[in-house]
Amino acid sequence: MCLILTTIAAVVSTVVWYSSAKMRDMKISVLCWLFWGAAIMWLVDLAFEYAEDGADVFNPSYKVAIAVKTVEEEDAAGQEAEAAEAKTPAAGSEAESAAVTDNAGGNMFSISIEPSDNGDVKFVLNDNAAAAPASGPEEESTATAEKATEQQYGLVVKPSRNGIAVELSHVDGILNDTVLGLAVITLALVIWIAFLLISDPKGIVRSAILKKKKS
Amino acid sequence: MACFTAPLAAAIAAGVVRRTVKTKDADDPETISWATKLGWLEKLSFGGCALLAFEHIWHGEIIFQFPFLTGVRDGNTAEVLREIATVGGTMTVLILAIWAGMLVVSSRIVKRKPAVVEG
Repeated sequence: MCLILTTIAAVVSTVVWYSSAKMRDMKISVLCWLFWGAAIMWLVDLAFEYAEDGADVFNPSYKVAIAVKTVEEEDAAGQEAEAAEAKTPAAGSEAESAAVTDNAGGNMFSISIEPSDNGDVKFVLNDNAAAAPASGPEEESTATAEKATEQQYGLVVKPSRNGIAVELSHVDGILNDTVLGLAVITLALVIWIAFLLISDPKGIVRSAILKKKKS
Repeated sequence: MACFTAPLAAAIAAGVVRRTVKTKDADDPETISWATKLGWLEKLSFGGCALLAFEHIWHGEIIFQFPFLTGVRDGNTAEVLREIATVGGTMTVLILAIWAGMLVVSSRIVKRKPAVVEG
């Protein structure tokens, strides 16, 4: 979505640059460079993701800034303080834990997978408000964890090769990408305005400052 | 993670070369100076890097404290370097290829006879 929005913005700014001499004076070319540069780079990024993960990259719920780590990886990284928060190890078990972080890197909650007494796997949400049942068969536990997190955070918990995968739900994935795309366009517009005011091609800022000085 | 650093390095290099070339370029209105051509590369690279850096901040991959990259902070330095080399390298190559295309097209446009405006 971000790539699409940026490419549309690049095309529009280029058409405006070509068709309007007035806008060329207003340094609209700055926007063209910004948008085309970013669109090219995101295209490469998408190509690499496609090569790695296939058609999944076109799923809006695919890419979320989450950190899914096993207990062993966290220990190896020497992040004992973070790991202590994320872990809920069952005594003597091979518990795996995933710390789910928000975009700012802050911990939202963590989930651990623990072997239960009857040989099944249980998911435990380490969050007071959204705790999954501490026992029960795997499927039931997964479904409960999924429901709890989706309701509270718009996240979907699924079993995966590495233990668990946490994804943004479909609608939230689209919204997140759209908001990012719009934020990118807004940032580019802010850069353009700043560039315009500083370069001041028509001398408007200069004359306004001088006028104020005189009065 | 930090893929935009490769095109950023290319942009800085283009900027340095442009400033060196600028003083040597002759003012010929019928040709495009190398300073202008390198300026295109610089703007394209810097423009993309600025927005990509913003996207990385959005996703929490860049932080405002040392070492500035969450990948390096988490001990995945090799992974970060690999991504700079592969994804970043390809970005730089594609930007350079598009810039080379721009040079070819622009030189043909300059050589072309000016269109006659009717009316």
